[in-house]
Amino acid sequence: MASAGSGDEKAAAAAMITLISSDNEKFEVTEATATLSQTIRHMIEDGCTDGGVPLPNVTSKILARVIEYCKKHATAAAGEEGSSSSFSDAAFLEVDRAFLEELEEFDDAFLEVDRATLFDLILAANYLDIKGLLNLTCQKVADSVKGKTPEQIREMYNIVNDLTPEEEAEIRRETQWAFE
Amino acid sequence: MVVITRSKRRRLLEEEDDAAGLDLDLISRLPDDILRDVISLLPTADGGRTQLLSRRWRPLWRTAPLNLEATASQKDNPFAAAILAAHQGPGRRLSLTWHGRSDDSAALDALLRSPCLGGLRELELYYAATLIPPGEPCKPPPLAMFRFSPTLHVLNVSCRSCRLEIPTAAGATDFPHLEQLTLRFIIISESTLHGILSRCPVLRSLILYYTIGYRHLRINSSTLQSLGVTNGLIKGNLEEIVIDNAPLLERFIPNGEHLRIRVIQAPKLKIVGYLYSRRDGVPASDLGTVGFKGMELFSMTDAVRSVKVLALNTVPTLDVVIGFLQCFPCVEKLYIKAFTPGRFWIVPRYVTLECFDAHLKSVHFMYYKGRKRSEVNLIRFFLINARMLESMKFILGHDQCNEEWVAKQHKKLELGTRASQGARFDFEPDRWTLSHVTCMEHIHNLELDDPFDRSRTYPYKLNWL
Repeated sequence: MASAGSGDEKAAAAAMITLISSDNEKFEVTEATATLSQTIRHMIEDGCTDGGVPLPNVTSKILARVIEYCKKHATAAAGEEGSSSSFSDAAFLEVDRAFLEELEEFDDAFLEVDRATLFDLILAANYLDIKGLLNLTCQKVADSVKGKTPEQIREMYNIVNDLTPEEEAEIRRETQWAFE
Repeated sequence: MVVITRSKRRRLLEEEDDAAGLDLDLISRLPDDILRDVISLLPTADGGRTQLLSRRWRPLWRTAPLNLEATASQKDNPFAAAILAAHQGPGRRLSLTWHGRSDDSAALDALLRSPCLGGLRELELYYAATLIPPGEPCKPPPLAMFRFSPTLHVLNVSCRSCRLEIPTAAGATDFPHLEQLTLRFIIISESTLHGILSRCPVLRSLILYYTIGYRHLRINSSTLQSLGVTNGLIKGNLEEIVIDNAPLLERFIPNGEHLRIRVIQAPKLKIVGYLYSRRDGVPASDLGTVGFKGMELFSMTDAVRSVKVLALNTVPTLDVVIGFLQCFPCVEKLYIKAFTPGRFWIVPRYVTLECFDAHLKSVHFMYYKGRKRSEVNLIRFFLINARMLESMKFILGHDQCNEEWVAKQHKKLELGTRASQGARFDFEPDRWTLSHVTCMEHIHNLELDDPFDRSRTYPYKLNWL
């Protein structure tokens, strides 16, 4: 009985990866979740994930959120793979649609964070090389800037204007097309 | 329990920002490459304005991948040249509109040759040549557009009020990364078209919309997933589509009344429609393939069992409907445009069809009017015989969706007498017309699982159709 149990555990453990945040918190995730990150995928391929993967650039608070995103999207990817072969499922069309909608809602809700967290998520997505998350977060920043004047953007993001009036006049002259 | 709405949550987050004294310039903590990504997601002018934010931001725009929407005319848009001169490249997306003034040809050519557009991934060329007298052909597009072929992922060449001819030389151009190709109101020869298609090794979706100059289209592609084709508005253009070998093809949206269609190898084909009907089609074929001439099947030796969603244009006789359901025996969802149904005087009972016995769950009747007996009989045919039916939807052609009218229809259609007791009935007003246009527009959206379902789709840049 014990040996059967340990066999199962072994199989489960083989598919689990431990991620270690900068503040030394450990997160157990499945390989499918972890490999949404190209950085971690490469580490797994190189066989250097024994004893956990230290991520010195990512705090536990941000890592938890990144894992939340990866879990959701890993399920989505698995669902897609499954669906192409089991199309005969009568309810497939409805289920698939509902799931895509749910994923969209998840992404919207996921982005409702304060600015500091948003930028931390961008940095983490960049470091971990998670394309979907990077696109999602960069689009959020782009949307916030769209249609605004430089003054409004500076105010929104506390950007200090260190251009001299002469430089500013020069840029306006060069990029007249952007201010029409 | 305190419920926190989204807007309230957002407000709280903003207050948190202020409370934490976050008057720091957080965005500037992001590396240059990420700021460039953000800039290239912005419309052209918004991107350009970021140069004025600070010294750090000033050089970023000119090195961020360029996203340029422009008109190829000094008069309409004197700035395109200035933008291209100031930017260092690479290009990400170029959307160029040309109004057909001959003196703008040079400007168009110069724009396309601009060195900073190297590496372009998306090219959209819109020929809105309203200034050219009708019937007169446009000048051929500048060959400079083909310089981007090594890097393009998306190519869309569209015409309005004119016809643009794709030069023969294009047929020898390689598009190693092209995933999406759209040609609208274009003239292209058969050999040029097939030449281009054979040089797109990763093409995933293709739209040929009212494009003329070729009579036969033959598809041989190991990557194509989605295909939308209309024949020209004039008779004597596209006559035949042959899906020779398309192992990944899932969606096939042909549109045109005089099309002969043959599907030889498309094992993953799931979605087909709107298929046209023709009364004089001659069923004849000795091929081990499935084909339909107009709507008359000309071979049923190898029924297409993979198709789950089927859309039919007006059906002239009941035999044609039955023929289709025999040809596609595993259809789960069926759309029928019922606005001018054919002859349905008698409703046969106890029809044995695999589709009725095991698969058909949902039928949508578009443009339902509920006036003619033949229309009612067509619906009765499904009610009496489709044993697995779960839902029947009536999309109404005009504003008639009031309770009284619906109650009348329930009675007229005898919805109570049916083979599947669990079936649900819904009457819905249509959201827009031009159904084939909308499903054509969704060919490129590979995530959309049913391009015919108009509760999910939306009208798309109709001015370009």
